[in-house]
Amino acid sequence: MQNAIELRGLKKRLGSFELGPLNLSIPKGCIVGYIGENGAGKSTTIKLMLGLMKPDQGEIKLLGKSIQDMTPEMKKDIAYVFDDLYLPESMDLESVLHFHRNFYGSAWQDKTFSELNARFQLPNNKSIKHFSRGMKMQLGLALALSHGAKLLLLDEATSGLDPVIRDDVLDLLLEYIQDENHTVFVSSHILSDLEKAADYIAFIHKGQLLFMETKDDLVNQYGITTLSREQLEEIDDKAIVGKRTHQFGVEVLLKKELIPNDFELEKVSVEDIMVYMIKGER
Amino acid sequence: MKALIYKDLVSLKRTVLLSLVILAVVCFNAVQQGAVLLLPMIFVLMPVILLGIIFGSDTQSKVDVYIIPGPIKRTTVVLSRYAFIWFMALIGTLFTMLLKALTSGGILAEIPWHFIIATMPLLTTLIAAIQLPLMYKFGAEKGRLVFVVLYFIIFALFSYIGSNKGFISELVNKLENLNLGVVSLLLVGVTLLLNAVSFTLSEAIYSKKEF
Repeated sequence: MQNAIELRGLKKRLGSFELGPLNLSIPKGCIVGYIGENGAGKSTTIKLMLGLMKPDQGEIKLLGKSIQDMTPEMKKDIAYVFDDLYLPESMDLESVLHFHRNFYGSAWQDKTFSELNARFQLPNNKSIKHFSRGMKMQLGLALALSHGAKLLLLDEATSGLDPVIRDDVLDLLLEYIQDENHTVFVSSHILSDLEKAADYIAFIHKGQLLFMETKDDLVNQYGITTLSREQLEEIDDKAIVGKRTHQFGVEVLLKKELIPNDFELEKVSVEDIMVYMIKGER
Repeated sequence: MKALIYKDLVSLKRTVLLSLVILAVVCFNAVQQGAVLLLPMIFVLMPVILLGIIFGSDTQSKVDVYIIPGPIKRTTVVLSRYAFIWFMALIGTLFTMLLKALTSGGILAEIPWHFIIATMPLLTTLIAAIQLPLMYKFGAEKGRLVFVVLYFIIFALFSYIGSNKGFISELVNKLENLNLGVVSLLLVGVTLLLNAVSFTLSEAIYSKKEF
């Protein structure tokens, strides 16, 4: 089956930061949460995919086509939402609509846009300048979903939004993914949202992809527990992903497969895994 | 490209209205003072001012980040900007021709039609053609610094023209002796070359730009 996103040996140097080499294959029909701390390389990856940056090395294929060979017509299959709307603030809803009709031509779906607009109740008589951040993101998402795109890329689109709007966005993503040809790649700091919606979690740290796994596999692979220093010494070093020392002992994130079966472990969240992998001492 | 031009017009909406008011006042004043030749010069300044506003608005909204991943080539983005300038040049040339048709005396009446057709596109695109590659290279902020320098040059030019009416007549006489048809052709060539070089430079700079 053709992958929706295929990254092969992707490298990009930005000053002292180096992304990659990044290898990533994302199948069609799923939601992938792209996680990592600030400056890990999430936005750089998405910018490279969208042609906003040029890779130093490697190949990027979206929907089976190398991005360098994509025609404007093919690009209509790709939708994107950033952390801001990036449209002139003097535009109002009518001019945004008119602009997009011309921008996407025959691919533009007026009906879908009006339905989403009605759902979000965006104001018709205000310029974008007077839109709240939530409204801007809702508009961005409505625009992205109104030209029949098969791949949706979101770069920190939900950050800074209140839980109600974030929930609206997640609902919309889950509706969008009902079509098996649709794929969503979403980078976010809000890991609880990704836990609700994502099928896969890809974790990037200091420009390197640490893993990409199904969310269920991921949370089943790890467990968390608090041990005394003596108990900790009995554990195989390879099983310890990260640890935090406090006055009552040591809290550790462990790989389940490398520890005895009688060990009692608490269930972990994606956030626990990310925090321990980044911050936890080993 | 239609979408991009529409976006630029939306960004300019308020400014265009204000510009039209200023234009009307300047026209009225120039006609009152018998300085009709100054009117076409408005079309030398207008593209420079409007270009600055468009670039400023684009920089503020970071609209390139939205446009580039979309169904459009980078060449088209650059072309849309030049199309705007060339449209202004066309309007400026037509306006000057209309002005010549409506005025019976004065310097403008002495200038041959083909010379107007050759000169106006050069004058109206000259500054923008120099500025656009600079703005693509250095951004709108540094581009504004270039504007300031160019404003001074234009105003100095205006003052010079205003205080040397005799010089213009003399120049026209000299050019007439030099076969104005050939001069006009040369000017058309210079205009085409200037715009082609400018567009190629802008396109090359923009195609390498990262956002």
